Amino acid sequence: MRPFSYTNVNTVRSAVQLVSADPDAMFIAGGTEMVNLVREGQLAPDHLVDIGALPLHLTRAGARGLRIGALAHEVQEHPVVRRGYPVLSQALLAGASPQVRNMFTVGGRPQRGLIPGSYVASGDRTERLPAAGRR
Amino acid sequence: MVEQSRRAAETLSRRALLSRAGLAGTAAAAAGSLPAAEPAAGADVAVPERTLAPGPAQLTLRVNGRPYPVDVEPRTTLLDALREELGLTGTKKGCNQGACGACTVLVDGRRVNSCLTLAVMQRGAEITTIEGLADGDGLHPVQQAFLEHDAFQCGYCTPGQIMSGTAVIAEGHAGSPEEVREWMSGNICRCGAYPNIVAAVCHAARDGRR
Ligand SMILES: Cc1cc2nc3c(=O)[nH]c(=O)nc-3n(C[C@H](O)[C@H](O)[C@H](O)COP(=O)(O)OP(=O)(O)OC[C@H]3O[C@@H](n4cnc5c(N)ncnc54)[C@H](O)[C@@H]3O)c2cc1C
Ligand code: FES
Ligand code: FES
Repeated sequence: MRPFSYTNVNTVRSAVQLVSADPDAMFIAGGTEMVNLVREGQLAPDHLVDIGALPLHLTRAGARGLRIGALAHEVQEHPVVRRGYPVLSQALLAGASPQVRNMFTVGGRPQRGLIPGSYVASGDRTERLPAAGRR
Repeated sequence: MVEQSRRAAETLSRRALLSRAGLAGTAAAAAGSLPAAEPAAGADVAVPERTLAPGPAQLTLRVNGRPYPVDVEPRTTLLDALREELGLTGTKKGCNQGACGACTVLVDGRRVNSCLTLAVMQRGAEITTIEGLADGDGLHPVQQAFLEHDAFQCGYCTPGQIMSGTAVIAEGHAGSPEEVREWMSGNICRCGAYPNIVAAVCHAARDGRR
């Protein structure tokens, strides 16, 4: 694998700053896609910014629908999702393997992975942090 | 031995609960389950921000209950760190791309593919490999069940199958052979020992419930 440097961040601000300041820096969340793509040479970041510890894990339902944190794990197991959004839960359960699902995040998914049809069918919107738009 | 899978189950639920409550730091440290210096990554407690240059760097991994100082580069996968740096070669490299499950280990009680994560990302986490399952000479119930059910041929997939089997039971996904098949779907066996693997996991799950 091509060498790169690495920073683990604990605030959204440092995450955004590091990646905005360096065109060759990229985020890594669960790593399930990134590690493979770097290993295969399909991506060649010089710097990886590990956002796995950011406080973006929450999934909750409100009047305006379901909000899923970019780093949410196991959304399919969430009681609110199982009860109120069973198709989403089933679509997520049908993907990947239990091991991969334990690592990957919802935020890493629209970036590279396949998006379950149910996201699209339910009028999914992705909120982007200012200047965090680069993949 | 049953204690082991119960412990895994407790780790799971305690962690899930604590991180939801946002209390992982204080409570986990009080429970003595995490090293004081580097609390769990991915929990709500932060491993201090640190930048590592592309070359080797010294860090500590906690594997099977003990801290190991290792020299690894940011690009070193957890799998390579375990096998090449720590000499824990029980964890196998099959596809090296997340598809076969031979490299399955537990990170903070949850099963993951060690080929898909970087060692640096697991500072502060509690890693369990196949070498950490047995209690001295006493096999873990899932290991014992694999022996009794002849649940392997070449044995290459076996450590990953066993790690996954312990997790399937701890997760409560071992209620029936169908359920075990579904939840073991991340572990491929080229020899096709599946019927015996499913039987072994079901057996260990039943024994655990007794
Ligand atoms: C064996 C295997 C099977 C799979 N099966 C499926 C499947 O069935 N269905 C499916 O949908 N996907 C599948 N995937 C792909 C999977 O969805 C993605 O790997 C996963 O969603 C990526 O999440 P991650 O946190 O691991 O992302 P990473 O690998 O950490 O990152 C992926 C990309 O997203 C970017 N990124 C991550 N988080 C953010 C963020 N918060 N903001 C901006 N950018 C971000 C990273 O920079 C990177 O470019 C599979 C992958 C593997 C290895
Ligand atoms: S070696 Fe990791 S899944 Fe195959
Ligand atoms: S026993 Fe040979 S691959 Fe499973």
